Amino acid sequence: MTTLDTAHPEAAGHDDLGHEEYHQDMSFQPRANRIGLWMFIFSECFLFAAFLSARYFTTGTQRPEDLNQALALAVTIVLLLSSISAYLAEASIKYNHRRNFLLFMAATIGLGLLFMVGVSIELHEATLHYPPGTPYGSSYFMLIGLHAFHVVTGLVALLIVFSLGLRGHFGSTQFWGVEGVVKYWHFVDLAWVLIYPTLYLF
Amino acid sequence: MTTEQVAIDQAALSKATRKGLVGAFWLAVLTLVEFVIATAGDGESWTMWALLPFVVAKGWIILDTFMHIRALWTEDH
Repeated sequence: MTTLDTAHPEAAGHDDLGHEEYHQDMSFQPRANRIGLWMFIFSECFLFAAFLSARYFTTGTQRPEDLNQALALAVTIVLLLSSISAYLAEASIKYNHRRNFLLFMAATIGLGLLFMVGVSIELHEATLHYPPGTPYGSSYFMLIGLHAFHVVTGLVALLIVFSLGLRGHFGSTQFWGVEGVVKYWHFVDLAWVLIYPTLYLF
Repeated sequence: MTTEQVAIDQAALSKATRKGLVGAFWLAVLTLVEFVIATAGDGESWTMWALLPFVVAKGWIILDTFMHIRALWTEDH
């Protein structure tokens, strides 16, 4: 792979286009990518809204006494911290700090895994106190399951970006891959900001 | 890359980091206050209305500070 290909991996295989023409064609692309991602996130909002409203429809604002509030607060803090490290990873690569980018990316993945460990413990406790057959339990498992699925897919995407970063991909002029994944991770955090009070506080 | 460009990047990174940390601070404060109110309310229905502004504020911080939603309608991204 040439230096040009490393800096602009998507350019490989476009030999039929001249360098200038290729970049003119791609000049709109980051903005189009962003709008596409925002449309995807917007559509995901409807999915989460349906599941969130189902909780209020089935059980109102009543919640079981056995909820582990301390653990829920702890996993919330872990996920918020992961969002901050993801933000710092994006800012680092944007301003050419590859070492910081890799460090913050690794921290985000580690915190995401820690969040999943906390959620696993919560799910284990939930099966004992409010199993899926109960009205609250069904909403709980639907929401936590849907969110956990998004966390896992986010973690896979973060791992791919991290491994690409280790191999020298991305830079201050080519960081859409990082930006897209980090935005998705923030959306996972945003969804939790709504799920946490819905299940544990209201 | 010139020394001048490195200095510009460094200053921009410091500014972005500061912005992120301020956002993180407010997220932490709002989360803790939210938890205290919910614990004090102990499942009463008024807690939902009391906590709603906190949820909205936290959502906006994530959307604005971390997800740069305003870049959708401005050019400076």
